[in-house]
Amino acid sequence: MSTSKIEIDGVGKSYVSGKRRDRKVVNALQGVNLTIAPGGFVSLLGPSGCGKTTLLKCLDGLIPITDGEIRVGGKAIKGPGRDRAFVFQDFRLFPWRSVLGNVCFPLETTVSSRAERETTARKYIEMVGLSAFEKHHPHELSGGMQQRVGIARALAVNPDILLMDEPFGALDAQTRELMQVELLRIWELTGKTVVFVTHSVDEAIFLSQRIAVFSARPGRISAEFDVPFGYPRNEHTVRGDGRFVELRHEIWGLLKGDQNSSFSE
Amino acid sequence: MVRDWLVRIATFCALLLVWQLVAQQMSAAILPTPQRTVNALIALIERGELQTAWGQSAVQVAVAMVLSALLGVGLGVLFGWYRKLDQLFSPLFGSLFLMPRVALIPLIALWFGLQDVAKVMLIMAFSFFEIFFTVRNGVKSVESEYVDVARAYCVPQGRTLRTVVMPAIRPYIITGLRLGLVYALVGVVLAGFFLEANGIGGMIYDLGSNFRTAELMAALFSVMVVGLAVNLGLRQLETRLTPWQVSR
Ligand SMILES: Nc1ncnc2c1ncn2[C@@H]1O[C@H](COP(=O)(O)OP(=O)(O)O)[C@@H](O)[C@H]1O
Ligand SMILES: [Mg+2]
Repeated sequence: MSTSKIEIDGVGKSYVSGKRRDRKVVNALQGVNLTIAPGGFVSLLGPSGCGKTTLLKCLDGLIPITDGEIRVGGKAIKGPGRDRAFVFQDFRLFPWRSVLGNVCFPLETTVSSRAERETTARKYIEMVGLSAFEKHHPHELSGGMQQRVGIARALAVNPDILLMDEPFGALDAQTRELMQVELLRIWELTGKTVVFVTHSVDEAIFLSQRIAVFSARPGRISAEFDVPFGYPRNEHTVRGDGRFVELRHEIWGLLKGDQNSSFSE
Repeated sequence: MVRDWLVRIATFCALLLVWQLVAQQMSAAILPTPQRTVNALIALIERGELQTAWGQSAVQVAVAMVLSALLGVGLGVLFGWYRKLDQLFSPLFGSLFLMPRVALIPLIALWFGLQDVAKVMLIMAFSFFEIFFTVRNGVKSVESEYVDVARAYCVPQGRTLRTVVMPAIRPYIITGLRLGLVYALVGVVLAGFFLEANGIGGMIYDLGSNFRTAELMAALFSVMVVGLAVNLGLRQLETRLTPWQVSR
């Protein structure tokens, strides 16, 4: 057993679209290297279109890589696995199912007893603070609540690794802050390895232990930063700390230097 | 809402008035007055002719719709799900869909005669494609969004089809059925014109050829009402069964 949970080794990914003459190749990722320790919280940070979602989908095995290798727990991955769970930016809840039904969904292939599935699902619904809403349908919930369901669904399969693709990107600032605190609480409680995609510098610093900064076309990691704060973190103490300001400044400088970046905050 | 209805009623009254004014200037064989039309409608109902005609048509439409729904939903799901099948056969279905379906009538008459079987076939030619294409496109469009979730959680294909695709395309199935039924009405009227003259189509044809214009107008009015009712009823069903589809 190696000491790292995830090893991304010279990974490249190009998308091919169109046929024959109209064939287009997009080099979304090229030569990406990153290792992530078990129980670590790593953010992938970069402007839109730099390949963050692509890398996360490759990590989940949803799309095949065209170059290099991704190892999880020392083994090269071949497709989606039950050791990893994906949290989507647009929640992707099933509108025809209740909160409970949505969280039960991934368990239906592995757990045959309905009662057992519901017990497990309820445990995670409680963890994200939605016990009072388990019979509600997604369209009756706010965006923040819907993403809590998305997180509960991912936790329900008890994965080692949580892959989160801008999970709070669609939420308003206030809800977003609440969800960040909530996520850290759950992370400390469960000890999962988290790979968190964001395009917000502040969010990356507040949440993660390490930040991998992307540059675009072809997407690759241009720098990695260690975040010098312990947990539990407090939004106000972190933001008031001189090291936060310094790190923020440094990352911003890097992103601005990237000509392709289309950043604004 | 109330204002909408007021406007609608006002428009209806205005149209009625125009109709009355124009009809007074014309022979009743060309354009009967609203009053004569209403009388004709009452007479048609009292003699039971309208009910008999609609009864015959309803049976033909019902049988054709059940078959179209089974075939359309079944094939639609199959074609939407298996891309190879779609690439192979969709050009054929596409060109049949684009062809004016009325042109098929002589062939249908040759193959199936003029009775109910032929009529059901003709109605199906109208309703099947609406259902098939709506469902097939539905399966294709839910694919990336919801099927990815199933894939991410290692749900096998068969199960995904059953527990994700089928419920996800429910709104498309209902829309397909609504469109299919509206087109089935076109089919059943044409069936009465060109095949054995019974049902509402046959009735309209006979009334027209005998210059019974007031009764003809009354029969047309009944077609309009049925069309509106079908559309409205299935829209209600749509919002009832898929409450999350807020705007559609
Ligand atoms: N399915 C696809 N087919 C072709 N090109 C794609 C596809 N998905 C993403 N891309 C391209 O790959 C690049 C990286 O996209 P993505 O990973 O979504 O970036 P990010 O998540 O950082 O915004 C973009 O240029 C995008 O247009
Ligand atoms: Mg993205």
